[in-house]
Amino acid sequence: MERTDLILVNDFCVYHKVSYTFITGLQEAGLVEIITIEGESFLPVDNIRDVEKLVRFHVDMDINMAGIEAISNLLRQIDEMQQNLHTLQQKLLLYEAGDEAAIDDTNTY
Amino acid sequence: MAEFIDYYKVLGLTKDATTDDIKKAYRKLARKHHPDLNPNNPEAQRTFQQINEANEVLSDPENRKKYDQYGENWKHAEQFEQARQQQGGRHGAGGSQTGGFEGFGGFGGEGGDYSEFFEQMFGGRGGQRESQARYRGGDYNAELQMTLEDAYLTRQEVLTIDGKKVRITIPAGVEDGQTIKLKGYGAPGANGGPAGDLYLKFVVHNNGPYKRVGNDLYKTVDLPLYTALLGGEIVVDTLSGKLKLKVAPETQNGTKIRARGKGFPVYKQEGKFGDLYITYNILIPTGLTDEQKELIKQLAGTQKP
Repeated sequence: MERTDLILVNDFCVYHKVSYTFITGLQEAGLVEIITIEGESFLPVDNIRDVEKLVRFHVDMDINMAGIEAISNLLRQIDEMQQNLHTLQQKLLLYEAGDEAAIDDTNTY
Repeated sequence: MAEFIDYYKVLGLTKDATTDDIKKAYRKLARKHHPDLNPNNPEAQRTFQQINEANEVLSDPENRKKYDQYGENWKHAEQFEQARQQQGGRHGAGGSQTGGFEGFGGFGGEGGDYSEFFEQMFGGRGGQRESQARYRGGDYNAELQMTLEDAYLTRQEVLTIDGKKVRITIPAGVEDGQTIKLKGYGAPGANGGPAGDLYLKFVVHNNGPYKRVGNDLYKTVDLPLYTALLGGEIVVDTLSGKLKLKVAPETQNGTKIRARGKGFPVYKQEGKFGDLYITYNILIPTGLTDEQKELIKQLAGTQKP
């Protein structure tokens, strides 16, 4: 049965005008997942958005593999920090509402 | 009417810029403003859209020629278009999928207006593949505005996507800013290819009495002075109904109590809830009668130093 959840790496490369070694380089850097079936390499459809982002770094912004790896790690950190910031902002709202009691001395029901 | 945009200025170039200059300027600005490098930054997204637009116009010789020719009088370009069409000319596709369905407050999400592989190539622009090849449809990004109360319960929502009404289920407990992927609700595929996905971002407005931190809720409740002094029972409104609480004698102002499992539902974990933290705000009576004042004086006299 034909699978619609995978895209041939070659097709992806042809469209984006990137080399096959660029995609395997991303794989070696742990940035993309390549699935091999009967000797053919595929990208999962669910990951295409992320792979396209990495391609944009390379094609649109002329960033090399080492730079893409560094940026990806930094973006992951930014994402974590933004989540932490969001949680802290929520907590700050508690105090801005005039509630300054400590959470530690709570009674549990 | 739309204002004229000086695309050369946007890229920091002059009119005699070469194709190479344009490419370099675009890349330099993209490295600073591209939405991929500025996640959750709408300002960068807006700036980049201009940069991208400038690049699309100036890096395409045909578009650049037209832009250079008409400049600030670009509105006359329409006549130019008509003339060209009469000659059987065709203009570059350009642009990307930023619209397509209605019923939302706007578009957002990472990557801004790009999902090239699906939206452009898979839409059939590439021309490097056989015309009968099956292409997946592009992804959509949308925002859904809701209140904290809306997010408390699993709910059905009817969205209008590409003119069609689609019923989706939003699980209880979604977070403000959370994005979910609705597989197959994006643009239709070509030649029988699968549809793209819809990335739906929730914007949860919270102007009510509850503050939410993760799955926990916080609320301040007024407590009569005498109940605080002598203890008793109070009934508190929660998102899941009324909650009866025992108040310990000599409860201090600002005391926090935790009602386990009375907070927000945990996303996609049925039956699991966060906690509700209630802070007591003790109300000092006003408008005391003379008799009451006298009694309080007597009470004060009994207080040990």
